Amino acid sequence: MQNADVIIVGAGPAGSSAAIRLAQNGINAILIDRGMPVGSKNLSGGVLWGNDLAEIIPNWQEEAPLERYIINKKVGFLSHEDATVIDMHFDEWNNFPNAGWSLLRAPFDEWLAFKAQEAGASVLSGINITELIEEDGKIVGVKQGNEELRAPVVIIAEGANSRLMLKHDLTYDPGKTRYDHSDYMIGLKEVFELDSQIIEERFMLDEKQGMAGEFILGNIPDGIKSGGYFYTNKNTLSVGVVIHLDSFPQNQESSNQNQSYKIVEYFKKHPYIARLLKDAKPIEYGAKLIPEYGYNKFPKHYGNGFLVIGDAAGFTFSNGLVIQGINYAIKSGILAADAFLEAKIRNEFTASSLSNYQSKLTKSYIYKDFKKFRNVKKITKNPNLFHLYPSAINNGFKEVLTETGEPKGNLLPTILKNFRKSGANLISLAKDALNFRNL
Amino acid sequence: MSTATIEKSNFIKKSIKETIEKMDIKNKIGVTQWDTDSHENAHITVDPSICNDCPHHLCIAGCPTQCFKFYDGNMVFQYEDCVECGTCDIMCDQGSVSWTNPRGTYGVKYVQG
Repeated sequence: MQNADVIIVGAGPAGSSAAIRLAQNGINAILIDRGMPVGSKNLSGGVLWGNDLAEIIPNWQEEAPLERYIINKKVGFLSHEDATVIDMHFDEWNNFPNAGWSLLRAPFDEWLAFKAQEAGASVLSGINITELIEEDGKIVGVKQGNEELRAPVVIIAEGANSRLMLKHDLTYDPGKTRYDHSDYMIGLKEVFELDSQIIEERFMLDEKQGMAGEFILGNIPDGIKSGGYFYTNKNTLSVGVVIHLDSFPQNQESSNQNQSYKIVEYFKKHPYIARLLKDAKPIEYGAKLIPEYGYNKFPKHYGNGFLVIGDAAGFTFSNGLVIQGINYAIKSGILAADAFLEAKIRNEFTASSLSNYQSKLTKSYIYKDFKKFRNVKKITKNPNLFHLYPSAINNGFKEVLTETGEPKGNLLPTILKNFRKSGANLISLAKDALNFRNL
Repeated sequence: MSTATIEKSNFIKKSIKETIEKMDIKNKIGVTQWDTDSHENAHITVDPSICNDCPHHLCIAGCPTQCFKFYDGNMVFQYEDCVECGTCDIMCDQGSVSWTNPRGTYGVKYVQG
């Protein structure tokens, strides 16, 4: 007996978007989430770039619980005490549809799941799916313990730490029982309360405008590679770090010294960041994994009776300047729904019938982004990016700009001198410069 | 500007480093909400006998809420403060950590997210 046409596991942006698209086309979809209420397990840095959601909710920018639209973008290099920050204002970002919005995932994801319900999907919260039902090489449903729900197609939208992908051996490496630390970052986050007027004065924003800042952290000990982010919400701030899991030194002494939660403090206590956090009161702390599989290590995206979307499919992208996942999640959810609709016409849900999803992905900007930037890890994991460039840039500018009563050096030679002083040789600089083609 | 000044600025202020080393993460996570399941339903289990021979204890480094601590030659684990990120499952290559999602409705409850 079939309980539905499609079962979607996970009500994040990917799962809910798929459910909305399916329900809008009259498909009987069940959307299941382990959180109660939906959204209470969901966390991310908190900026949604892009307008993919308009495909299924045209007026989402007016209706969704959003915080502030981004008008000011900062990209910074922090060394131990100093900072060089590129401060960008693009006036066009004031216009509708806005380029990016800060948001908080618990209320946003709850709203999106509500939109799925409104469109006609059944939303089940507080249910943890532990297993897929597999019969004759086909996925035919899901299980919570002994309880079963059956449908011809299951969409896996479990997020970064997908247990179903592991359990059913759908990852890049067959036989894998846990994920690989070189394919993941951990994102830690604190939310601070601060009066909206103070936020607007401090960051020079109008009522609805927001700031999104990303910082390369050159002030973290023992070679740990980490970036910081700082986003403004209506009357809160989202502040945290992202750490490459494979950059923690692999010895007991370091593990007892350098915990991920201390990296957040190194970011927050940097003099440039600390002054932005003045009088802000912490109200929530959390963390999430961020997959960084890249184009060459994608897991299975479809098969007999199943489709994979969002973080579970590896659709998270970072190049040091941006880190994005929500828009890819929404887009992949919509594409998976469309692939199902086509398979439904054939009334056939085999891998070959569902492979439409793959061709849709390949044609979309998702795959184009990932393909184009397939070597981006050469930059984002380059130790020089964290432990050489920030201090060299800061020291170079500082030396040129500080009056000492001695004759000034020229800007570029002074910066280059500081690169060399920080331990870079010309060959490694040239190699890095070549790698920056991948950005 | 003298070389000495530049080099000095390459090191983090001692006062900041000391504050960070002394920080108590448990104070920070007090603002986050949980609906904690009973001990027999703990969603992560750790076999501490394996941990003594572990060369790296990367679970301690990775965990954002200090659920792992190495005390007197013993790995001590508590699941109650877990935010279900999954980092320890990735970090433990020794076979000590067994990881599942908490039962439906239990575990961390983000209000902001």
